[in-house]
Amino acid sequence: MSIPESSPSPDPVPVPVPPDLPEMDTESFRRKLAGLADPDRTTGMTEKTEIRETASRFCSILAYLFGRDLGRLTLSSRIDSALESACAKVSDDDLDRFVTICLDHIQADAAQAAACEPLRQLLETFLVRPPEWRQEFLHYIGTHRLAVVVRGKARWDLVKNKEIEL
Amino acid sequence: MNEGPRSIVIVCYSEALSRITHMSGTAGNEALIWREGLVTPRGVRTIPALSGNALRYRTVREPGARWLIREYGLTGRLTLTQLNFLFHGGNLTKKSNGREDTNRIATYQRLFPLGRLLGGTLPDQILAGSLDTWIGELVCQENRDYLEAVLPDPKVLPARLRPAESFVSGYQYTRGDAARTVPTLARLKGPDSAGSDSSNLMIYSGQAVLRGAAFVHGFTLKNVSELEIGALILSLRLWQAAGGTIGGQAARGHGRLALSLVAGDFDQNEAVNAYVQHARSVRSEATAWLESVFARKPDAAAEGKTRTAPESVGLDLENAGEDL
Repeated sequence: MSIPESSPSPDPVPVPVPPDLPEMDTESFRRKLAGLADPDRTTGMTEKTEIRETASRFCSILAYLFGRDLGRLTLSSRIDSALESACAKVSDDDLDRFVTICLDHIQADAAQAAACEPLRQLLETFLVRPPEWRQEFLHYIGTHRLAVVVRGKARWDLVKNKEIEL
Repeated sequence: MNEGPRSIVIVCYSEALSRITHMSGTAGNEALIWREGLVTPRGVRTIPALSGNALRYRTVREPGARWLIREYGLTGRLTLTQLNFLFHGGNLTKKSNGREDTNRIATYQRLFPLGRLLGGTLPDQILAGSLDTWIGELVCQENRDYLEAVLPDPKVLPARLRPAESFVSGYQYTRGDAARTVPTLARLKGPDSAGSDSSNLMIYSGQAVLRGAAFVHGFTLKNVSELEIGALILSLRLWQAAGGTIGGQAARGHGRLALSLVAGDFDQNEAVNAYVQHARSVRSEATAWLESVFARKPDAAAEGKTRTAPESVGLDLENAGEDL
């Protein structure tokens, strides 16, 4: 027998009953769901394209400003780790900080960066974009990092061949 | 309190208090989350979800069975077969004798409202349940049509929800290696010693649903009494009180859900109290039932008997089918 009668179980201590489950009324449920709402805008194809091209351009600027003390053979992998590191550190829409972390990571020369007109233009562009755009930019780089590096490298090759402007 | 049996729908909203890693499998060292295919106007999308199977076990069967065992003082006294019945529904291990023992079913359903809810399998008989567990669907734009269909008041949904992929992230951990972390504690000579090249450092990673994401899930109870409702609600409460985890990696802080009831026409306390009082009042009977149903027949080989036709040894013909 699995429960022998010869050894009756001791009187068990009643197990406490846990408290009520919370019940949500319509208003509190509405407030909860509001936190899962998409920002009041949708990302159209034009915006997606702009974000993708801006990310490629940013990569090519990083290649241009790549630290002279670093081996050029490590250019792509170093830019990749710069993006990875910056994405991990910037969780809001502060793209100035994002750019700064990337420049630090590739050991960009401050004087050369300050003189880089395309970088200044890019920072100005970031400044005038809405917060949702900036967050989408970070999200895109965070989730498409290798594609960004590949496109950035291809763009940098075109710049080197003077086929396009930086 | 509702007098007679009735069918009710309970809708729950569970918010992720930590990352949810309810997995479907692995790709190399990366664990992939469980997803459900969904037809949308833009093609088929696979959306993270919580399987009904996991929700049924983790939120109802496991906490409910554990409570019964503690309440009845049966810890350490049950066989694995009995535990399998209570925790996993049991197995059909014997030939059915071809008839349904309605008296036994009725007794079981009276003594174990949780069992009537979940169903199960005795060694020779399948017991139907009365609980349908819904799949936990992510609250996201792709699931909007579904949410509008199941929520009691779809107007609470915002104009546009975030897309499913915005709730998916990843994690990465490293399993350490004693050769690197505590080499000075290892023996110095021989195989598998401090200097040997047997590193097993491992990086493993996976997908996760982000903290703050939410799932809508629920239960349909068919033709049940207050006792079954109480058994379900008590189980959900126990599950929440024990951390409310779902999926894997709970040991590392993953999987915590905070459950709220959104809809359900019943009084929680009334149902739970009724169930608790009932369970306590039938303790001796329920324990005896568990004992009798899963009692082992004397082992024929151990008693030096040989298998022969039941007629020739005068066995109880009513139970003959179980032994042959």
